[in-house]
Amino acid sequence: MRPTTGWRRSIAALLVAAVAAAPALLALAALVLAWRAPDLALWPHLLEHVLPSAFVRTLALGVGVAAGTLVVGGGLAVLTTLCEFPLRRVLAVALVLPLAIPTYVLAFVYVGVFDYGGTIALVFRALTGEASALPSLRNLPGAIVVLTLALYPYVYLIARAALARQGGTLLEAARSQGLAPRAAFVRAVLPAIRPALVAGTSLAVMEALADFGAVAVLGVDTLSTAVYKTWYALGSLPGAAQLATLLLALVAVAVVAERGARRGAGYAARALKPAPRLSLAGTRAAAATAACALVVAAALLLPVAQLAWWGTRAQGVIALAAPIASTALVAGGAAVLVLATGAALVAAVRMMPGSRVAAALRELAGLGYAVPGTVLAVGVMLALIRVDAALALGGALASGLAGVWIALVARLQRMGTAPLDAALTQIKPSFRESARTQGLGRLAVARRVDWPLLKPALLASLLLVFVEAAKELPATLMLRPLGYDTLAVKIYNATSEGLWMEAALPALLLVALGLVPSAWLLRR
Amino acid sequence: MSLRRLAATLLVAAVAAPAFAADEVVVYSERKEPLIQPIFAEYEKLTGTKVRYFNDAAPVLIERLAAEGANTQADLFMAVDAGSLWQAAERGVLAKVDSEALSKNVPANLRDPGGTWFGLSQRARTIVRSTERVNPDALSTYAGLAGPEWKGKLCLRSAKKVYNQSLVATMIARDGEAKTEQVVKGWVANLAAPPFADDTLLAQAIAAGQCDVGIINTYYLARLEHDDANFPVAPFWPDQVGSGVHVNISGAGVTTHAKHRDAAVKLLEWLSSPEAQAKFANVNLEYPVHPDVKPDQLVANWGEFKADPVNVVEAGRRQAEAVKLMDRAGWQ
Repeated sequence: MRPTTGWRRSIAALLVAAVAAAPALLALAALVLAWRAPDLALWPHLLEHVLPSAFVRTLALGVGVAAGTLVVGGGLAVLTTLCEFPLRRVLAVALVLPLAIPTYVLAFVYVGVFDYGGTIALVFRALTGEASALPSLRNLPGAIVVLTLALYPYVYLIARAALARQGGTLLEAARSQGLAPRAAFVRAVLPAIRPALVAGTSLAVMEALADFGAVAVLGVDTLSTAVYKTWYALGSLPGAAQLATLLLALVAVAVVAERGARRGAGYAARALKPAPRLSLAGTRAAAATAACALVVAAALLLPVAQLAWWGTRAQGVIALAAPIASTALVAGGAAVLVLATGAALVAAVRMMPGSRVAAALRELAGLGYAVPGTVLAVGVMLALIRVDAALALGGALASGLAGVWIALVARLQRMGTAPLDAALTQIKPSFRESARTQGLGRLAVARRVDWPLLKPALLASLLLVFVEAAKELPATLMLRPLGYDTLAVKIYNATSEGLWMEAALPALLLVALGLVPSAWLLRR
Repeated sequence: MSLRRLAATLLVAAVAAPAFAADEVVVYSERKEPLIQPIFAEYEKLTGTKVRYFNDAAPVLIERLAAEGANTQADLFMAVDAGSLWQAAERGVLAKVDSEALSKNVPANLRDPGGTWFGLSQRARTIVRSTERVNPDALSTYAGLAGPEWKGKLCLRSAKKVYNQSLVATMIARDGEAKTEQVVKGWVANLAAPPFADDTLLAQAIAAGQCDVGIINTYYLARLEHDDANFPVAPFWPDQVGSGVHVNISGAGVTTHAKHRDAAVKLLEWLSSPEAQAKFANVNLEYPVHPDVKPDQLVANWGEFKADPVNVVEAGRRQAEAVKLMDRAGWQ
């Protein structure tokens, strides 16, 4: 960058970043501003009877889900990209699909199947005669297991993108220097995919912390449930917002830790050609197939089978063409916007190395993902209604498609920035420099150096955001235009009344909707 | 055209402004689609008035109504708990309606004394028992479930559910805070399993043998019995010599800034009419508010009971108090 034009670019970059971050910043500002009037009648009660235990549980849930998704998602990504074993291609695609199953749907299926009155438990008791032989799922360990099964695809998908960029080549290079496969993996591959692992895990943990539906089904009261209770039951929206900022502080600490974990991360070698996979044989091959199949069975086949069974028992015909169209429109539009604003934010940070303002904007915009959805969405709604009134739009902004898109950008921004950022971290600046010295122009460098390395991350991101937006509930529910009920809204409408049979078909369609882009993305 | 006007016009065009048809009512409804759509469809067929609805949780809908003010699209607000209706009235988002039909069809203790909302169905929250393990003679009152003989045998739903909060709120209104807290602590001590996420799961746990007794809304049991006539769980009507069975309501009120006020009042009146009440009760398996209308046959088979005559506004007024009490008692 030439110094004479530097400041212009900086200002332009900052402006772009500010616009991109605006939806999330507006919503977060609404939360922080709630502290203008601390709810003094409420805090002593919360501090004495609610928060201490909720805090410990939330922390344990976060740590447990981080460890679980890292091991399952990261491990399976490495296995399916670097190794060759029977059924690898099919399993690699199937492992992405649980992404499309909303966490609370998975939680309900698991409670329905494994809890005391569930099918498996009934069969188990009939066979063994034991009264309580199966451990209950409705507790903290149960919540960690179920949320890990629901959220590991984030790590899996982002880590796979990182490995596709470079994993095979790195492994091959290290092995050509005489390292054994395991040592080559630990020394060459692991450091290089660390940013991707951290990015994926942080998404999973944030979703777990903001989750309400699944932990409610699993009977685990967290800070997030305390936020909802403060608003819905104690009738204090300001109190709920104040509590949400506490959760945000917890996440902010985690984000800073994440940045630390990424420091010193390795850079990519340029993937010139796909490297051959390490062929597994004998028991190792069988174990690899079994590990993947087990996760596919637990996170995909079991819930799909249960939903299909419920679906056959549903009464009445449910019109689904309109919800499918609404889902495509709402989630598709949101995915494009999240990715565009995410790219703008990431680019702004890269254009101004060392600028704390740009980096802070990016991190702040990403925090929306860790706020319990309904509380964030109400912040967006209030902001939209205010802007609407100021522009005399007659309520059109908050009740139109733009409103729900803006809310989804505020909520899912991190899905646009985290994978992209992890990918960019891997591109060694010297690649560009050497390309420039070979006489390539700026655009040619972008096309021939950056694009091939970024493409897998961008596509993974697009899939992630689309599926996430399609199953997102609180913001969509609150701000969808009248008549634009998405599949997730249909699921909510049925499940909140305990009508699981009626929820089954829309839930299956949501999974199917995720199937198409997943299969396409992983067709290699 | 000023820049502001231009921007405004463009934005309106971009976000597809809602069309206001003449014969239309827009409902913000907490009552979910599967249980309300058949009734609205019936009304459309009967009158030609189009009913459009938007579902979300009541606190969200109230916040939305308050924020939208005069710009709201909503003509009617519909909730499934008296506390929510009371909150909506407190926030000033509901308008007073003077209607002879509504006053005649809805008993006084099931509507707002201020005339802003009206009950449309009654929801009894009662004790249920295993027909295999519990003799009805062993049961008497809600408070009785706190006794030591039920240790490890009671199942409850989460304290986060408004139905439980309303139950505890009316207990506080009647018996005072100290006595209620003692009872609730007794319940918590008797739990056989962590509180359940919904009433259906709770009833299924009793059927499976995880616990013997519980407290649920009757229509959940009705749905289970509808699917399986031999479902081994039955309702028990508690406090029949005392205050009666706890009854909450679902109901609705016309919004302050309704664009189609007359149409909204007409819809509300129709919902309280004997024809609609019978259909409504048939779809949702709840108890009608109209005194002359019988519940669904399956529900009627459980027999009649004495309901708590307390006005349901008490539930709203004391909700926060109830939640704090439940927190102190350790009811998750």
